[in-house]
Amino acid sequence: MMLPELGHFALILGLALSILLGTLPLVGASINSSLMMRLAKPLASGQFFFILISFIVLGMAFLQDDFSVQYVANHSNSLLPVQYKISAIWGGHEGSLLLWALILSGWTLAVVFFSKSLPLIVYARVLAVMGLIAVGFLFFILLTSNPFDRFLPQFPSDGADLNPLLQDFGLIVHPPMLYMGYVGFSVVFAFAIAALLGGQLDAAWAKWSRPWTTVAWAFLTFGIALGSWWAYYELGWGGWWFWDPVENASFMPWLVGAALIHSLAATEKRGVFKSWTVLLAILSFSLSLLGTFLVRSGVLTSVHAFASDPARGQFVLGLLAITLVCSLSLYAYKVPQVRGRIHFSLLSKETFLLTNNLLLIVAWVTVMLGTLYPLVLDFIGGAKLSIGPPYFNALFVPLMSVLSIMMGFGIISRWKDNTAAYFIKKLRLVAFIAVLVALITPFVAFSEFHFGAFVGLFLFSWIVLISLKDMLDKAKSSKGLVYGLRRLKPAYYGMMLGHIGFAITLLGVAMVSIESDERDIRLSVGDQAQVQNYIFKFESMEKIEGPNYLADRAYFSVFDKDSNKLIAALKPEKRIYLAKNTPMTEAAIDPGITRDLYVALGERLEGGAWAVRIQIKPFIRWIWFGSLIMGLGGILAVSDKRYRKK
Amino acid sequence: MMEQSVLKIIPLLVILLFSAQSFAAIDVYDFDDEEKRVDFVALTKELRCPKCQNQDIADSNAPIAADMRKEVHRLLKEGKDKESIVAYMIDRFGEFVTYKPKKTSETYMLWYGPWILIFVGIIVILSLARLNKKEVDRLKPSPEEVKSLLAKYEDKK
Amino acid sequence: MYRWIPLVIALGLALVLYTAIGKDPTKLETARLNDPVPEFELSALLDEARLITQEDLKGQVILLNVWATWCPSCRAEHGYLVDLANKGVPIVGLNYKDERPTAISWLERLGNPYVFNIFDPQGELGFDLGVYGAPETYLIDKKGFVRFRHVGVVDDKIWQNILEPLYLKLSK
Repeated sequence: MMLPELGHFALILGLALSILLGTLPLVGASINSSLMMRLAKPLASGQFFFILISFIVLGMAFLQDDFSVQYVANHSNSLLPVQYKISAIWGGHEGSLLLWALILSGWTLAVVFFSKSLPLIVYARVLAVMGLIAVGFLFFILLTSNPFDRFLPQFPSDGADLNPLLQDFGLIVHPPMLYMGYVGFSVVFAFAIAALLGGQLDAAWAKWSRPWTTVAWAFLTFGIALGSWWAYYELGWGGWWFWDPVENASFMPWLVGAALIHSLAATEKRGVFKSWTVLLAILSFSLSLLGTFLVRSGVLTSVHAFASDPARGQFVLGLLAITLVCSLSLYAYKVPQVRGRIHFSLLSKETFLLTNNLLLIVAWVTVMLGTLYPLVLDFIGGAKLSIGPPYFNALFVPLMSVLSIMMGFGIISRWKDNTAAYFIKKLRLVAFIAVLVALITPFVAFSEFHFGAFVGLFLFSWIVLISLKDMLDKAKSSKGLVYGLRRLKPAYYGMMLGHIGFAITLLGVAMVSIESDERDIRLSVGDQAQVQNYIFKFESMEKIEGPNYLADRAYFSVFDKDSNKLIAALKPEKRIYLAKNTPMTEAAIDPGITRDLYVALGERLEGGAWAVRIQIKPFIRWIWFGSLIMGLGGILAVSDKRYRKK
Repeated sequence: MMEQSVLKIIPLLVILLFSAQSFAAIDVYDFDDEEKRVDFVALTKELRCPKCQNQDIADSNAPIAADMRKEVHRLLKEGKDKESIVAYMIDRFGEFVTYKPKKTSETYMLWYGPWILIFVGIIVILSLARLNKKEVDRLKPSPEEVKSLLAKYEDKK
Repeated sequence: MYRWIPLVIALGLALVLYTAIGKDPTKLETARLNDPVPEFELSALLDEARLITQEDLKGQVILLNVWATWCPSCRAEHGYLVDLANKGVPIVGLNYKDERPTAISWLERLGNPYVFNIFDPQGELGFDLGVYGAPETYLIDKKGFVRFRHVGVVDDKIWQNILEPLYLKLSK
């Protein structure tokens, strides 16, 4: 059973190659040695190869139920269904770090293959920086978090089982997507450092970095949306976002990444904001590292946190500190060499992009404050505080509303200069229609005025209508509309989808937050309850056996109050997972475009009744659908030919 | 071996970490009027469970959270308003127990920092754009300069 | 000059995060610190007929130990509490959310370090004190004011380094 040691050894080889990758091409760049710089490609390939081997070995250990490997014993079980045995690889701290390292080396290899047109010196520096990051993480794994540690000579006959909450499709996709995003920001970070080292922060570095940033951001969008969706159907309380520190840890790089995408656009097209864009690039990746720290160090309480260990926390903090000190010192040192001449007026696209950045950065600061303020207060000896949804929502709602309004102006603005008359002319009809839609729809749906729904609908219509209008304006051609539309580039449509996706998500958030209905009701078999226009009838109860659990399953029929038509049959369950007698609730959901019906079983009460939570959640699917559109917009933008030409 | 038994505790700890929310805490409380029920939902979402891994008392099934829900229900029935119920809990468990931090001198930065930052940012943006308008105007040739340039051009022809 | 600001902020943040490592983020402050013990009227554990109020906690400096038979850590600290009681430290017990017969036989089996025990089956006094998890030990001064709360097991280290100095100070 030597196989796990092979994985360990492969990791060590990967580290060795990372060290070489992090140093040789960098040296080569400063002494102009073409040979040393070209070493980056084989070194990056080798690094990826060995980390992949290591990952596969760990996977084999899971598939073969090798419980002599501690990590496998702690996170798996012989009865675990096979797809979860595989996803259990990243179900715990050590394995998820190995996934991190694998994805990092994957991105590094991607840079090797997609950067044919890069000057050699930039190419070498970018890959070297990514190599250095890998060095940090591989040391972290090998020194503090080795997934290949063994129980020897005596090992358990069976594993502790993967936590039942993680035995789900969500675990299979959510962490890999998230890490693709987090780690993906290391590419634009590497480009920023390479640009600083070379003293050239011109439009070229922005052009090279843009596709990498956009794709990373798209993956992060998918990852966060998947996490939210997973929490919703898995956790039994119908929530989709809790402003939990771990959630915030992923949201912060997303916000700054979005600002970065916009800033890169300005730097590439107009050569402006050069040093600011570099700073944002450094910040995005640093926030990825901060997130890694927060989740694994134990300094903040979270339902999502991995089991914490101060030593690990110190190591990650060390990585973060080294990254920040090196990159920000380099930034401060080199930035005076970069001075652009900015020529734009108050109503220019440049100003609106700056406004976008301002609002997104303030949004990020808000999340950062809400997450870390308790630590700061504790540091200076103040009170022990909790900061949660009341704070975040109070600040976020106005910020996002203003951002949405500015988005409309920004989309149709032109570079350098616009007049107020231009905006009025373009926007007055849209504003009128948006107000109408926002007024009429709630009346139709609820037969009364709801301010929150009005605002949400207005902002949604504002953004969608302006996006469509801009598309039609830009597609005007002498050869007809269809020709004009086909002439517009994927990059343009990608941007449009990004904005429309945001609007969809915004509307979903507004409706769910304001118009949700939640009841906790005592029901026995045969009872029924009415919530809004739905009748929930508790038909029967059954005991069932799953692959690794036993459950009480309830059968609910949902009828329309007026027509008495059967709308849905829901089967919420209360499960006990056998390995460790862990109880869990499986909510039953009837998904819909305009609403979800949500039923979850609570406790069994006296007299054979059950506590049942029934929720009506309007437009909740729009949140994840909008995120999907946003992410697809990013992917579409990157498929543009101009990125593939070279 | 000690190591082995210590390590065996970790999965148990992880499970304990999750077991607090592995089944939703659903008690059934009755209310005389709808407004009180809405207040109950709002309060149980705003109050934090003192013993859990970052959960409000609405979703936690820890015993102390259940006790707190019972008290919130009792106080609402007695006619207390939301502020006094939150204060009641803070008297016993400290500021930790509310998710909405009080606005004191300690938390000015928290509540007002973002707005101050926006204000500063707006000033920066305005000054950047204004600077540039000045520069653009400065670089623009005056009507006389335009005339003389045109004249020179005509001559060259 | 502005270009150095990001670095300075980053270093400050790193410092804050460094000091936060190892601290317990779930530890609550003592909300009732320097407040009088809340008013209550509960029966004694061993003698159901006897009623105890906050007045019974005045007169001398005492340790108020919150315990229960379902709490494994309480079992762990029990031996040390017996030692402390034998040394003359007055310990009053608050039997928290427990069952009377179980608690009584527990004490018979393991020894009773308590001067008397308050039986709080619903956790009412516990709730008013801000108890969120057993075991907890409060230091109450002669006038019946809460002067300190320790969350967790009381062992030799805790007694010598934290509780005893304060106990002696308050006793003067």
